[in-house]
Amino acid sequence: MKFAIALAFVFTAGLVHAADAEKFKIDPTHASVVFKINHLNFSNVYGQAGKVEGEFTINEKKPEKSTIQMTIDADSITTLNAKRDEHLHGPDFFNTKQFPKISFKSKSVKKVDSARYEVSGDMTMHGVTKPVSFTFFRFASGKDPWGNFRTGGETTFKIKRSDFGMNFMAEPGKVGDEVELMISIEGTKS
Amino acid sequence: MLSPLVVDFLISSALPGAVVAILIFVLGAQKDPLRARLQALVLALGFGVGNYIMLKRLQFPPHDMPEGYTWAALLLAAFVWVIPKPSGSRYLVRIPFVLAVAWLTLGPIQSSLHGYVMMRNLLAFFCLGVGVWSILERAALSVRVPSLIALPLMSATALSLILLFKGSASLAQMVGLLCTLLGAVLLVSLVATKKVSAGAILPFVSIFIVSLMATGHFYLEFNPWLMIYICVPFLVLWIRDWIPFVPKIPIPEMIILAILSGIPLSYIVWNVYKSSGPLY
Repeated sequence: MKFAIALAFVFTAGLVHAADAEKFKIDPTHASVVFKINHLNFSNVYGQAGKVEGEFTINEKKPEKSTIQMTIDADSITTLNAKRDEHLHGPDFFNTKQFPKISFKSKSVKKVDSARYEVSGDMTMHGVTKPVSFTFFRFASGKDPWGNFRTGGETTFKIKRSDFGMNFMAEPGKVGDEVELMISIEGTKS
Repeated sequence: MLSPLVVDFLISSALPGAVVAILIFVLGAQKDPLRARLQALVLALGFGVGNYIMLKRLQFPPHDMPEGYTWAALLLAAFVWVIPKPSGSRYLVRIPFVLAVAWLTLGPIQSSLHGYVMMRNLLAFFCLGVGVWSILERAALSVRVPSLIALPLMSATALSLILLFKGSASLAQMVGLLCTLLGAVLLVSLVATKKVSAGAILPFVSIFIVSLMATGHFYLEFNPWLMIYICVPFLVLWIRDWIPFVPKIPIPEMIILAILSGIPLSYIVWNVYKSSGPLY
């Protein structure tokens, strides 16, 4: 009898714990990954990724249990210039034939306050995995006009493309080594 | 103040080219087969060092195709080490080396190489590689060394320009490195024809260039026919014996064969430039 009660308690606790973590699927139509890169010190060029997918969980009671993972289709990266995009997708930069995906998977999440999370994780690009960290600013949560529960936010951080083996013209004065990423995502509760 | 692009060229290509030229000249005093072995090794190491300067990385298995080319160059030097003497009947020995070069350079994108068209084109480039290698080995028996270098060098230069126009400056630089090294060896062969071993250079002026063409097709989706068109100099070498008016003297032979190859080649490259323009 005691065993049955203990089992029921553990089971119920597990359910409660699971209920604490809300799982969201990234809405690809409201996910933006924009990057900024310096061009020969004259100006910055902006580009964006068209296809983003992934999911995240938010655990309000234990924020450190929250997670996020997302994947970008490298072939969908565009700077709104067809020939430059071909060049970007080729071996000089993303080499999308060999490395078709760019991904991020969180390893730790810390809640700073109601709107800020410090996220660290592994980013894989160009076949190289490197740790990255950023502050994620969470926006509103609630029901959208179609009745889905939705939340989202955005972050901005910088990476060095040479860290990922993308060395072509990365020396000072050429095409910037440092790339600023601006990521904004929304997810619907699944 | 030199442009950074010029500085890059000087460090990654011209410097290895100068060192390779000196070493090839010095090693020219040796006798074959040792000379062929050492000159092939120098050529491969020169390419490897230049490629490393450009990429700033090298690992095995190669992380990507540009790294694969350093290993492919060393593999071809190993081929020359094993079989230093050119002869017309080494198909069976060459085939595993052609396959190994393909594995090193196309292996990184093997997941995208499926379907009928890809298999057909892989087979076509395999046959082109083995065929061009055979043409060069046969030509080595009747053509002087300067022509054996100059004509494939023209193909490689055309490939480098097409790469530059159509999609990859880094690959164009890598082919440019090969062109610089071949140019350096050509210079040595013009000064002292007998100092350069044909056995040492054959794989680098045949299968190596064809594999770079295959890269242009499989990585950058170049029309495979375009790659075949720029093989015109190999065709000229193939039919060399049937061109009666070309004297069998190194420099005049090289000049006339280069003109015969250069006219169609320039037309092809010019048309690519007109349709593509320079790379961003």
